[in-house]
Amino acid sequence: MLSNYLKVALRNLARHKLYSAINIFGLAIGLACFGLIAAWVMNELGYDRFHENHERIVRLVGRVTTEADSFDQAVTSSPLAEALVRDYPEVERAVRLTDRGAIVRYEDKQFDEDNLLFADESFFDMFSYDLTLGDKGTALRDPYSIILTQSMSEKYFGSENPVGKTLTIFLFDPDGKGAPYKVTGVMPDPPQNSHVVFNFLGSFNTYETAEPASRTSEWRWFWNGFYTYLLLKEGSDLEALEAKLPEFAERYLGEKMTQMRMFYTFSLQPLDDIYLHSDLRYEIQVTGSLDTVVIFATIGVFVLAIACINYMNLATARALGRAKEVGIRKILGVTKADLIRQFLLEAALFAGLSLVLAFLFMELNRSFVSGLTGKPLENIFSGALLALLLGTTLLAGFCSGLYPALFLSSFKPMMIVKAWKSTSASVFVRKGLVVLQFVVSITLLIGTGLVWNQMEYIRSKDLGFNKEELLVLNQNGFSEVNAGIGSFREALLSHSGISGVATSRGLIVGGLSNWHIETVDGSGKPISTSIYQHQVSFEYLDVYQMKLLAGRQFVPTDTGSAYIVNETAVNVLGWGTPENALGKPFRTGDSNNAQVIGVVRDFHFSSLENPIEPVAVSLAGPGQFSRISIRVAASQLQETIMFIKQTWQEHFPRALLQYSFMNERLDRQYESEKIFGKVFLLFVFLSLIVASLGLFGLASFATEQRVKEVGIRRVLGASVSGVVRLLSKDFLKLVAVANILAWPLAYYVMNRWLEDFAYRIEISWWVFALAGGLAFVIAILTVSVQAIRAALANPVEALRYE
Amino acid sequence: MIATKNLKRTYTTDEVETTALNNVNIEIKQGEFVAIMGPSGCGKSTLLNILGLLDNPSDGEYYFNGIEVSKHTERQRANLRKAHIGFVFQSFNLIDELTVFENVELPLFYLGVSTTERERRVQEVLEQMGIMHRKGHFPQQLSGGQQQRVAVARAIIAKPNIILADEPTGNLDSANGQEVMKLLTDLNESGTSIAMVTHSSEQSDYAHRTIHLFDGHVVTENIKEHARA
Repeated sequence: MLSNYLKVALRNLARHKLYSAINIFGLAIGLACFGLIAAWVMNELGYDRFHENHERIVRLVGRVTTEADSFDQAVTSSPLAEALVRDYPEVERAVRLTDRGAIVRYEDKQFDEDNLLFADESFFDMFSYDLTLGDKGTALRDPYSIILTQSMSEKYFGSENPVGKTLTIFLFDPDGKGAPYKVTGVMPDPPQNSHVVFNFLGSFNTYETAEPASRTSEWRWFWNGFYTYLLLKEGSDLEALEAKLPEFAERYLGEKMTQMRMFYTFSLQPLDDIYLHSDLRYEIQVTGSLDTVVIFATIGVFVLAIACINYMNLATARALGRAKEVGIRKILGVTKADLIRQFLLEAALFAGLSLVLAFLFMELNRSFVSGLTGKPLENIFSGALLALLLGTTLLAGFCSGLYPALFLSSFKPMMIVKAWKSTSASVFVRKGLVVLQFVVSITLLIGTGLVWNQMEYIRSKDLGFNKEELLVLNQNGFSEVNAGIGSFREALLSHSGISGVATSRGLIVGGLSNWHIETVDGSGKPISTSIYQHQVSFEYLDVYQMKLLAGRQFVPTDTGSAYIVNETAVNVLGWGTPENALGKPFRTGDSNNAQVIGVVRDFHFSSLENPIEPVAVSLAGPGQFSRISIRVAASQLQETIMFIKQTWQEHFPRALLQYSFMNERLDRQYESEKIFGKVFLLFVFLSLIVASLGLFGLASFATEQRVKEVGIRRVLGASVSGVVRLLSKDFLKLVAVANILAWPLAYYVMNRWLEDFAYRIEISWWVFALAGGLAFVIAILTVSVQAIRAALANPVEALRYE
Repeated sequence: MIATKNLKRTYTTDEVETTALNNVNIEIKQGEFVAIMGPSGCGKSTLLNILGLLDNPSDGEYYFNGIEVSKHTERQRANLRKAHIGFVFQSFNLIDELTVFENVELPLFYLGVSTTERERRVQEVLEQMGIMHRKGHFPQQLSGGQQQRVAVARAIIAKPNIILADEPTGNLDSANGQEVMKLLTDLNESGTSIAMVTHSSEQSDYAHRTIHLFDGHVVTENIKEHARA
């Protein structure tokens, strides 16, 4: 019996090549899409789970509350870890991390490296990492010890054993000439699905050795530059421990908090929740987004659903062709159960073929998708994913086979052998399914349009400074650069293509830190708060072309005594107008008698997802900077850059030159949104292909069904275009209905996505019209191919059958 | 072996009730060859469907091998059908995706006959029908006459008590038509009952008895003294 079913199934497949191809191909694309998305989603959901103790590890995070403001931050100060272990028995151990970037040099090799992680000695007792060379127990014991990942070992030492050798790193070296770090171990490249990835792992006491005050200063409890992780004892209660933290904060920080009128509270984040649920100030590395995971998981399910819908639709439509066979089998005495079995088997066969094809697609596209998302997708053929795909395929096969199976097996035998006509119920279901897939496609199209619009808006938004033709050089910790900046600047300004040179500590692209300040509000009442601070050279505002709204620019003598604040600070501090702000006292840690000398128009110093916050700009001391910004003329850019390189070589022969354009750095802030947009576009494209395939198949069936009608109409004098219109009309109605349903859905979903941005576009109607129009064009193209073929056929051919 | 009592079949559409059969009383004995005649729309095919257990009557009784079957479920009817009734249609109704051999084999599948036994019996019947050399072909590769012989082979493979034939020669030229009629007559002579719907009086001459239907009624029954050989 089974072999008979298989035979019929395969012969059917071969006889109706087009429909079989559409069926199998469509489902395969759906499955491959779903599989790739599932691999990515599983990767996102699986962050940090590879640590054996992941369920017991938590991160300590802080909330800062001042009289004007309150915010959460991922960073904490370094003495907290030790105090927690000492005071609370449920804390088994604590590890502090700090993440840096620096120039690393070995013999003649020199690179700018990101992701140098410094960790306490007990790092390996908390986190599950292995060493291939070196001893876990001692590798992080001494200051200036460093462990290399396999790729870094190869990069600097080739095939040599690096343990015991020395790297020069421009970090934690007080004299700025590079400090010697001893290589104490080599480890395999750490898994990428961790909220903190690193290439170098150094000992935490390197920092403490370079900054002895970090162990002694009475203010060390407020130096927030570190990430504190706790390993809780088996069975201890996170919430109970959290409840003890206010008292803990009071004990160690209380006196100073009252003095500063700035209050800290602490809470605990389970390690498993950090990557997808945490989005605090100063995260150690960029975190993921649960929303994005949900959006893509939904798209994956939808694309798969569309593919299954197609399968069902086509299989049901094909019932027409299979009806006679079913009728004959019934006359010969087959039972309904046998028929259902037969059709389910066929569906399983098709689904199985699709799955094989899907794996092929997935493998072929893996590196592409992996490049697009920046995730390796190594787990593409993992057991869990295989099981999920196989289960999904079986389910899809079952669902898509069940409907035609029930539908066909319920035919009355004679009814089929004689003449068969679609029942109105089945037509309704089929039309409903077509509408559903177009709803999905149109929604995705509108989504793509709006994502693209928002990206364009961000790209062209006025940031409050001129980001074009601004070149940024890194100081990279070379002390010779600080020392020689004066003559370097003079040399640069002699070139006609350079109109300004300014220096700053840090850059306004995603990297300002906040400081505690004391001032008075509009009514003269003293207030204390925390504010972002930016330290610059006196030419800075001119070079960045920021607009001064009141007061004056810096002059070289302003160091430590003058601040320029932004508009938002004026509002938040309650000063009313920019003019009112002038002369207000401004006290910070290192300047006691400073005052506000100017107000600058608001400028963006972080991604447009965040609103502008209060910032105070002050004059850095001579030689205190980490970046050099150069305003260049667009007309002779190449030549100017050559000149800058040459001048750098002459002035700082030992220092590595690194430069980038401001607008490119800004663009990089939106990398994840760009990926989001690109991946979105890819899946829209695929869903449209799948939907068009389905529509094409269905249209050809509908047309076949009406061959006789078309023949009669043509004999009676209908024109070709008239027939095409007749045959296309029904499908276009469905697309119209799909538009009506998709528009509010897309509006709702995209409005939610846009809510994440502090600065966003208004949703414009033309995106909807365009998406709807595109769906119509695709539908017309797909359907009319079939309709034209039917209309052009010789009517005699069509009528001869009856 | 077949008897009906006041058989009635009505079809109801939205507004109209059509009576296809009204008080039909007929009897077909084991070994008999009966022709059913009448103009288009007189209810011939409806009657044949009910006799073939493809449809249930709206009212009245139907005895098949002495059992009242008019209220049988689809499943019960399917079981009787595959064991006792063979069908031959005007339009052959072969499955296009199966070869001649596989088409003929199909009823044995559903009866659960073993592979070797199936093979033996299909061979035998195909030889009997003179189409052994065509066993690997698909229906579309055969002439009409050959297709109908395959259909007859399929109808008799399970050794049914009765064959129901609906205009079996309607789609054939006269030479092929005669061939098929000869086959049916031979089967009848070896003991199989036959009920055949036709509107050709020439064909009805092969039967022992002709039942004339008109507007759903039996109008006359002619019994022949000698059926044509």
